[in-house]
Amino acid sequence: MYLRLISGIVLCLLLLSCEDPVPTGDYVPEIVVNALLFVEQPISNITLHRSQPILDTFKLATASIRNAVITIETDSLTLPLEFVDDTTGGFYRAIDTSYKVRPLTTYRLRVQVDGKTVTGTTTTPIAFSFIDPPKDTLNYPGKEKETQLYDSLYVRWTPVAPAQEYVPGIVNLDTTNYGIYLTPPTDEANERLRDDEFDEGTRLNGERARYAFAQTTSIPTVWRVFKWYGRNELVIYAGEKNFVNWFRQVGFGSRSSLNFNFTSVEGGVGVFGAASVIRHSVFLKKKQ
Amino acid sequence: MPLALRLSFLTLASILLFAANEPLSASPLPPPAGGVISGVIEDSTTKETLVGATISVKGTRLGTYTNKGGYFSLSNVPAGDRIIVVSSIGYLRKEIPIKVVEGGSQKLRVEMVQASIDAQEVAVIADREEDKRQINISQVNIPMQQIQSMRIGGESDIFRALQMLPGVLTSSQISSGLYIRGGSPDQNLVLLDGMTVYNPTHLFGFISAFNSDAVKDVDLIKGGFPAEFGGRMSAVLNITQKDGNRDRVEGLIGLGLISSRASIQGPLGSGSWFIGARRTYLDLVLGLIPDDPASPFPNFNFYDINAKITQNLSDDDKISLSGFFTNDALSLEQPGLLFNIGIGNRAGALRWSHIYGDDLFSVVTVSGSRYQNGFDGNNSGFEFSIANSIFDYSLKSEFEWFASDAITVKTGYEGTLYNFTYEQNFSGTNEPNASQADAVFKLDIWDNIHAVFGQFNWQVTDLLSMQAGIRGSYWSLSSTTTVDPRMALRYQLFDGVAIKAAWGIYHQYLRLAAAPDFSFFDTWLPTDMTVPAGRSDHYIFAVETKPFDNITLNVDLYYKVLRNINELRSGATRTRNVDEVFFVGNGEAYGAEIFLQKSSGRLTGWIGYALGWVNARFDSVNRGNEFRPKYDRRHDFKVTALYALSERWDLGASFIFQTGQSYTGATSQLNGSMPDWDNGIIVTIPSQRWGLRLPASHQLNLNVNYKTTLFELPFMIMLDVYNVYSRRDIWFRFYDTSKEVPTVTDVRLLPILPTISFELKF
Repeated sequence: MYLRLISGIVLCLLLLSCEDPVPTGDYVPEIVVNALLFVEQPISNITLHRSQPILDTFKLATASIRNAVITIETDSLTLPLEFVDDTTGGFYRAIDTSYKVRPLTTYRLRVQVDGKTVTGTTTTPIAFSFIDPPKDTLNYPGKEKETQLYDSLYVRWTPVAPAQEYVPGIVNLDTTNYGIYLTPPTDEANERLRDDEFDEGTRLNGERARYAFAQTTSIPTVWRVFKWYGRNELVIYAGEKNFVNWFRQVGFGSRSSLNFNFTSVEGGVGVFGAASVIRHSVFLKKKQ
Repeated sequence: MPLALRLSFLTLASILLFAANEPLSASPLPPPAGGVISGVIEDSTTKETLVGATISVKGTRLGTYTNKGGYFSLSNVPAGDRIIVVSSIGYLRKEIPIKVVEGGSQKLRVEMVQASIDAQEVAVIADREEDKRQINISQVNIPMQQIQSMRIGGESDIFRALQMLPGVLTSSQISSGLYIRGGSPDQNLVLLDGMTVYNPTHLFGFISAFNSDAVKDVDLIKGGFPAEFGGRMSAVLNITQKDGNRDRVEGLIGLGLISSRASIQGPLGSGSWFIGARRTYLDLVLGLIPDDPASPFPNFNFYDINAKITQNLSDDDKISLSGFFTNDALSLEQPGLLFNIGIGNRAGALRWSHIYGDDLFSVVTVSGSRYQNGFDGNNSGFEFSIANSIFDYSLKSEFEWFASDAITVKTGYEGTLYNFTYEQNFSGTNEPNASQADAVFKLDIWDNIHAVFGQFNWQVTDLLSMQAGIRGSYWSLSSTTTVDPRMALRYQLFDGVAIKAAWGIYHQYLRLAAAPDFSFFDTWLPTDMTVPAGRSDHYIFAVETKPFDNITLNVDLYYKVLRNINELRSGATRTRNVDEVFFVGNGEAYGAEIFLQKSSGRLTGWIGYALGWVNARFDSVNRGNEFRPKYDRRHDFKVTALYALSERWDLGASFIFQTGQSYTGATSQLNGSMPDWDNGIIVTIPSQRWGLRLPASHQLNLNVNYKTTLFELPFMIMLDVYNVYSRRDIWFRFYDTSKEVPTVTDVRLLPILPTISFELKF
């Protein structure tokens, strides 16, 4: 009696415990803002696009929003932005191309598109500089010696209060040529340090820049950050909170789902952040 | 005054009132008369004390259970020639004639003989005169024989057995974390011989760290637990280690797929000793396989050791020293990258049990427990390390007074000195200079907690029993005082049918930063001034029946309010206070459980079904909208069975069918970019957090044991088939956005896995 009753109830309930189908048609477009200001640089490379259906091939040129009215303002002036089209989807820049972002200044973003408004606020950090820049040329020691620490590889920079976390990165400036930068020049081609780091066809595989995270103003140059030999640039960003959070979201390339706590605009998703940046060129020589 | 505080005072006042009026209130019961019978029940062979054995006086309604020390006390036993009936699951029932003298007292030491399979059916019949003072709501005791028969890869696992209970969920099939009635694993108090165990898992959460060879008794209280337990919001898992054989030296060696194990025990002075150990051989096996220097295998191993020494200093004094050690180590060394991970528990407890006269029993436990994990590495010359630990030095003293056959009073004090340490070095070097000092963070918090509790169990009338208690705690770091009243009632509706109800407030001070699927960098943190203490309110209603001999059928309904619970702040890299580690929010859990259990005889096992809901809301999670946690599963159906075919053959099976695990879908995709990137990466925009369900999860496991001899020693061959019909449930589903066209990717769990293992006793 008991067993029959329980079996009956359980059978009914089990029939109800069905899975949800994989959603492919629940498309809810969002306005995506990618707006980063860099101290002492013009306002440019601000992009705006609509998020795309989840299983479509993403094309920025298709997703790009070209008709937005965007202004960036401070307490004392308003800077209207204009759209500059190109084959990759285009970008917005300040009409006043001579204007350079000031340190320790609060900027407010206002985007109007299709009757919607997206806003954001950021305060720029101070400018900073290298105390100990990297050497102009670094000699790669080979994989087997990668974990050995070389004092000469340390770089150091001036602190940027209140920034506590910095984003250092290596940007390769020429993935094709290597030998032409040697003395005497050769026709040797450039190559990657590792062939098996990324799968072919992945988006990160083709990116020339790779970033890390530092909670200090002094770090060694880490061999694994380099993707290519040859002409590289060491870049350090001292970002405010919005910049750092956006880096947490996309910088490592591994966080594939958006964390809403890492976006810094209202009315859409994305970033309106600011950073000071320093750069120094480095030539990475292959192991001799 | 808040409602909870008012209720606390009301309950406290009620307790004091009851206590003051106890002689008057007890008047419906027979006047105190007769004698007192007390004593200890133990196994005739090993002299191991038996927990939960039933003692009754034939021809009366007097009865009781043995406590965790195997001790019992019956008062007001009518004078004259009486027969004491003792029974315990798996043992032959015993009847002992005694002469009870008016006003006199007698102490017994009863040795119980293990029953053969055929005798077990009759061994535990007729325990009608159970101790009605014990409410035991939502409490489950799984016989160790059954736990040992529920194996994966030849490993019996206490947590796997507990996961087969209705209402006990996991975040996935390969996780050993126990999610009980909507509570997360850190909300469970895990006690081993009275010492708190902070990370009871191996293999990063895949199997439990408790060696079932070393365990005598496992009690799980899924909610509504009494005032003697505190500091956790959800459940209590109370594990007692074996004392060891007091009669002769014996041992066991077991060889399984994942690990091998050995234990040995024997008499020592006026007591016994036990030591058991397990070790995996993954590292030894991998060491034999030639690997590619450019992509070497990681090196992994774990071990655990359980040890206990017990001494009877006198008939009334028993001391025991218990130890528990676990260690998991993982290392990898490849060009440009090396790292080491170490995780371990060290715990020890000295316990003194003393019997004062015939009716007062005390236990004093001094324990220390440490859990620590560490991670250090070198990435192309950049050195980094993280290490954290929790040290717990505790003193627990409790007194249990068998005041009359109607009233038992328990009171005690529990004090814990905590030391939390956390050290993070992201400076790139083990010897940071001044400019790198900011990348080094050290935390060293000393804190102490003091708690007192009082509870009594009172058989108000022949049909009605109640348990009321109160627990007061003071936490020094946050200067917080909490008062947790708890109450439970039991009413015997008919013969074999009782209804029960419980209500209580439970506060939690500790918080665990952990991933839901892995036990990797689990970090215990105190509640500091930046976050409020966690709190849950339990409301439970249960019907307990015995429809057939040796079969119980329980139905539990529960509702649980969860306040100030945690959600880990994902991506936080620089945290200095507890509110920077966690989001704090609220939730609720409610549901029903049906549990049909047969504990003795040739066929033992249970059928369990749970229907449950869990909801949570955090201001900063899921855009502030309510969501169900990942482990929420609407339906949870489980069956286990162990059939003793003959003296040589045992057959076992377990089956589980659950609503699919939750996962988060996506509404669209965006392009996220960093400066100097040419293309950017694709990021999905999530829909409702954990808002979708994977396909239902189900699995059948079979076990066969064959008992024989090897070199004239007892030898058992165990054949296990895990996931018999190779149902590969989805572990997790994600959107792979690394390539041009995003794809939905499922990562699946293990297919069918047959294993053979061996066990030799000597």
